[in-house]
Amino acid sequence: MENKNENPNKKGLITAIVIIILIAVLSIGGIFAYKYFSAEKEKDSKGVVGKISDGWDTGIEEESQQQQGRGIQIPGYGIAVMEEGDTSLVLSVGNPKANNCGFYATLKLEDGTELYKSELLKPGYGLTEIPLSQTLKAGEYTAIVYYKCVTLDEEQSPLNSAESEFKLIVK
Amino acid sequence: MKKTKIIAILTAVLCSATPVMSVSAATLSDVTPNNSTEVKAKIIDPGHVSYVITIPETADFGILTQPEDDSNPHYAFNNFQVEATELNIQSNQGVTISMKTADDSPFHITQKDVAENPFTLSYDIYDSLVDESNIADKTALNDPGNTPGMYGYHLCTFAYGTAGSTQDVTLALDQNALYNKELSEIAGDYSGYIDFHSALIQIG
Repeated sequence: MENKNENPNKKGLITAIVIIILIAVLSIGGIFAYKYFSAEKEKDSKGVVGKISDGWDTGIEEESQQQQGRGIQIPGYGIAVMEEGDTSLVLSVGNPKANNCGFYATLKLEDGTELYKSELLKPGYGLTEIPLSQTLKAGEYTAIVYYKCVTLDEEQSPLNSAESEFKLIVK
Repeated sequence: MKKTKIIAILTAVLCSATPVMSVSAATLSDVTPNNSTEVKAKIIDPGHVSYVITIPETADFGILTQPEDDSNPHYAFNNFQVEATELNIQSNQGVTISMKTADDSPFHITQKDVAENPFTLSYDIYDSLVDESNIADKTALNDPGNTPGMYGYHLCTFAYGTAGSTQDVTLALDQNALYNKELSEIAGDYSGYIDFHSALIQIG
């Protein structure tokens, strides 16, 4: 009789243990799955070659809203690096959201070779990895991002413009 | 007894899972512990923005007036500033700024909406605040004695730690260029554009 009473208790205990272990495993699995998919989502919005996305910023500091209307903010660069044969370049090209104008960004080499030309970049729009029209041989180049500035109305009247020179190293 | 042992083991298993998550969270946290001194340093990744400058959208001389004589200069001035809005650079670096026109021609504004032979007015640029009272003592950046660099006339260099500082610029247009001209031919809107060139350089 005692054995018959012990068995149901033992089964219940084992069931409880299994359930608790399952909950623990699922919880830990859920956390890792969340982190994995969060990372994938970030990659989609920031790292896709040639994809222009809103929410672009200079990455230095949030542009002050007080800057609005005072002029045109132009991003500048020091260095960019890529591998020989690469068809894209990690370069943060965009229009700071404090601006009241549009940008057409052109990446070119010092000798005038054009590597990329963007469509109209409204304030807050940009991309962090740009597709190149041609590959480059290993070496050190002087490159320029030319920001042609235009009004945001239909006429897109030209404004003063600027270019940012930087060193492009191809390994 | 068995039951107690099993519960103890289960508790240990659950407790051991908790620190794994806490360590992960601590790694991601940017909260500085109390009573510690935060030492800041930042290395800009290649391809990221190193600095931001602010340039004027336009330069407007306003309404120009035809002078009655050309015995003395009759200047129209336009003042603006170029700002080092953000500088995320090293202590031995600076951001150098130059000015030029898109086609490397002399600085000028051109009559708009005139297809054939539009009238053109040249102007000079100064790297300071200039007006009638001091222009005689100043030398324009685009003075014939100054040779432009590959990217135009050097305006200034913003050094490390000078974020927020500005450089004054004055454009000066001598309206004597309008003297004795037929107003009906030269009247209208004029426009011209400046290209600003920036580069990160080593200094010191």
